[in-house]
Amino acid sequence: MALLEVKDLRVSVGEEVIVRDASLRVESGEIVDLVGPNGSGKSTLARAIMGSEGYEVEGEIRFKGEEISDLPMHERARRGLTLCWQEPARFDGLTVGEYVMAGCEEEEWARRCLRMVGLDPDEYWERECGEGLSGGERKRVELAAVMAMRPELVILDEPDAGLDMSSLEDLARLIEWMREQGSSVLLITHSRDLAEEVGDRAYLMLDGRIVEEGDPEEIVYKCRICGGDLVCGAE
Amino acid sequence: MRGGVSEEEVFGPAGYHADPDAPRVVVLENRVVNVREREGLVIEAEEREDGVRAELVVREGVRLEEPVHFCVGVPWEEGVQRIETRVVVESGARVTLLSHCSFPRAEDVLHEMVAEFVVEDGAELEVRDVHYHGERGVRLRAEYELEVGEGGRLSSEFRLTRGRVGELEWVSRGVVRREGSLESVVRVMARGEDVVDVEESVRLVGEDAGAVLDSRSAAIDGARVRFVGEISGEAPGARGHVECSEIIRGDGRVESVPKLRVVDPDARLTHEAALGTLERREIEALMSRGLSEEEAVELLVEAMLRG
Repeated sequence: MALLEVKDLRVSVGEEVIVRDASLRVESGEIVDLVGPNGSGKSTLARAIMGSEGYEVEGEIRFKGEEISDLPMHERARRGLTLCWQEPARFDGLTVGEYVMAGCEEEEWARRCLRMVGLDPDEYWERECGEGLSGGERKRVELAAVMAMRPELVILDEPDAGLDMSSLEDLARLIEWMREQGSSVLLITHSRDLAEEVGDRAYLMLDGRIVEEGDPEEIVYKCRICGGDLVCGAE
Repeated sequence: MRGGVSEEEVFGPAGYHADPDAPRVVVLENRVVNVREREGLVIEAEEREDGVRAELVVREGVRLEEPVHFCVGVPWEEGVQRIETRVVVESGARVTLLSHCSFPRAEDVLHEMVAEFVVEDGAELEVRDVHYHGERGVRLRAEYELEVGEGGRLSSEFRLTRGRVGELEWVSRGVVRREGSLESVVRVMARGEDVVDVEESVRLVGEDAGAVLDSRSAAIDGARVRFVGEISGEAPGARGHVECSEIIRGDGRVESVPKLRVVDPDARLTHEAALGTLERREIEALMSRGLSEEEAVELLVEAMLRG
């Protein structure tokens, strides 16, 4: 049984169909890339899997064998699924500690997750997420908050975008560390190096459809010849 | 008073963590159950049929380091409590008043407060007033008269962010004399049938007097909130600022009215108002961590009201 299995998913907003007949799976312990050009529907697919409001969703989403399409987002999260948002919100007034602890019960573990993304918890714990952080720091906090949950599956939506980590290797190590901690990963990225470095398998998404599945290098190559805007290094 | 009940049981939800030896006045329903004075702090409390009259005076030049706890509450489901209070901080004196107003089991409680705060020349009064109205709310009518003498300083903070409000009618009128200052912070979270009506006004009658009225509130799921903050600049160099920041969620309703009146051409008054809703993506980000929508909204609103 796959950890996540999506079958024939169709996602629309009003009359506009954004994702068509998309199918994919993530096995336990896997890191799976999802690549494709801008606007191909990757983030919409991620949000639909997570249960974001505003989408009409048809098809199957199974997590650990359970059909979760009708569950609200927080119930999906409580079952071990989460999403690292591409553009973290500001959360004015909320402290870093409060945000990271929102899905976590162990403060020591949450502090360790902050350290893993290069933020000193003693310095950042009481800092406000809104005005107290740069965009890059906010992205790191988002990654730490996701890790603090100890999810069974995390969807990373362009974790390299806007991140101020010194190198792509740091991010790749972080994703591998997530796996070591028991999290499987569905990685949406525009970085071909990252996709090739950490992915076990990959899917190619074009124009709202998942058109190919295969080895990350092969899928990255196909993405580029299909006009995909993959870049070397971190975006 | 009906039956025995501990102070901790009643005032705990309002954030009461007093040192048992701290100076205080504790009122349950219409009974004065605990008074503890200090040198330079005089407390007179008189029981009445449906409430209590209390006067606290900090003598000239006395600067109390310990906060004074002023706790009033009704521990029962029903009741009427009328509190009349007068706080005088004499010239050059200083005190912090921690006020805990708690009605943890309220179903049909009326709490009326008529208060007068007098901060004499060069004196300082800091008031932190935390309310807890249980899960049903109370009817609270409060009327404050605030007077700040020359070079005096009055800073007050009212918080009602846990549990329900019920009906809150709050009127506060202040006068600030030369080089005096008054700062008022109001933080209220209203839900469901809650109705909040706050009117604050301050007259800056002395040269270089200053005032800040800072209100933040949330109206959630049908609650109604009205805030009027008015500053009148009536002397040269008077400075005032009204800030209102309100969050609406569901079919809550908010009316936020900053009013500035400049009488003296050398007075300078400003205002800033923001009305908005919580960002959906903030709520969803927290829901993707496992918080229900209600829990996410509560966390975000509490964070907003904390500032």
